[in-house]
Amino acid sequence: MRLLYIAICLCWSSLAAYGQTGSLSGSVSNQAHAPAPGMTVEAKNIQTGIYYKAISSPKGEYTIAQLPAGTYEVSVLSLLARPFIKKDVGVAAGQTQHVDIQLSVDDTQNTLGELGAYLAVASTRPPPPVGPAPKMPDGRPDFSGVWTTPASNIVPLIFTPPVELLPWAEAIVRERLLTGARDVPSSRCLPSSLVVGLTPVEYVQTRTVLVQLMEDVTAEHEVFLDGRSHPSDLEPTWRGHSVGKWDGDTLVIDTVGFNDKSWLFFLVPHTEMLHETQRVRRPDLGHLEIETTYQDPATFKTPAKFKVVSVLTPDEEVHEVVCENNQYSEHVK
Amino acid sequence: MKPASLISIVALGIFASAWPVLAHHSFAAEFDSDKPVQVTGAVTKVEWTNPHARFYVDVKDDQGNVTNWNIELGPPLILQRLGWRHDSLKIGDQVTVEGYSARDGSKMANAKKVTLADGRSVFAGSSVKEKPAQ
Repeated sequence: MRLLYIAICLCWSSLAAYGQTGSLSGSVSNQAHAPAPGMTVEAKNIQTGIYYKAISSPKGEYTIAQLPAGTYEVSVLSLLARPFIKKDVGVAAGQTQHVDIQLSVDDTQNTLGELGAYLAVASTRPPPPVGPAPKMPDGRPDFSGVWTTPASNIVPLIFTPPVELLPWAEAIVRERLLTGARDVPSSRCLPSSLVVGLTPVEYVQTRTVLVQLMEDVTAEHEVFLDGRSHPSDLEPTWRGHSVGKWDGDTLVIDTVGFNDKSWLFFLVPHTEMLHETQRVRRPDLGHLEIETTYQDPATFKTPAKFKVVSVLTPDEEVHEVVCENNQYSEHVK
Repeated sequence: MKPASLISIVALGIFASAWPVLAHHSFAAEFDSDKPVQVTGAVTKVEWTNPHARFYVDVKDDQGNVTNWNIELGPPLILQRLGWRHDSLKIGDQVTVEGYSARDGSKMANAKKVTLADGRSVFAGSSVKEKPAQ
């Protein structure tokens, strides 16, 4: 009898909740009025401050169901478009509120010589050289070479970072998106995001160390292959302390000792607890596969995982990047 | 947020002109798309520096007053890969610059189009002949 009573109560409360909820749906389109898939649409309940979200489908459509009746602020915040914010959207019980979202791009981003132009040309690169993966004298794989990651691989990570964030980190990401990420560390001549590879990265490998050369303020990073462990008294640094161990033909790079200043994916905060694991293999001469896992239980609900496949670009060179003139950033308002 | 695999590459192409912070800072934070500007004058200096190349133009108004404008470009490491060099513009070249003014009202702009007196464009797309200009 008691169980029956509980079941009836649960049923009644579910029905009551259902009766008090509505939904929000519509389309997301880009400045060319074409569907914009993969965009995160958020609805903030003004009364409770709780966020609800959905990702637009390949057709650019979205639905946020089971919304408590109330007033919402609907937004799409992305690094690649102007913020879209619609306030005072009412959602009534049992009804579907329709909100179509038209995104626009800030034309000031079309500055001559910025990455867009480069990526367009880079996409016309010839395919990488073909052949077996080279070996070191000791039989280990040799990762040496100049590597570039195709934009089609790395940009989606920035478009929608593959992370599930705790609320404090989500709030910071929203704030950064609303301000056009103007305070990204690189705007103050500080190192760029940990995710690199749009411009070439050179790997120089010996038996005991793998050196990564980058077009960034931190121009080089060492991965020790000599069997050492991380020091117990690490001071936090921008790129941390890396050791590598072989698992067959895969090099497992373990990095700790990060400071908390980097913006992962040019956007996402983290703490000094960040622990990066990379599994790197060279399946053939022309490709380098890198599977990265970020663990930071103070920031992420679950570890963030992503994979990039870089291609060998022997004609490229890693250029010097000395950050000389971002003192003009005082003009940023 | 969802895994990146859900993202259509087509969608990326549509946004390809917008790369706010992938390089160094957001142009939107520094320049105002509601303040388009066009200036014409003589190049006085070219700075081939990272993270942004820039050049300066003496602009004369109707009263003959001369103001030196500071024009911002992308980074040399990309401009060079597109085939441009520090001497693609020379001191004294007459140029017309179309772009957007700095938000703080200073005589700065980012360049959207730079045209020489003979009509040639500089710093746009690729200058490398074997690669198609984009």
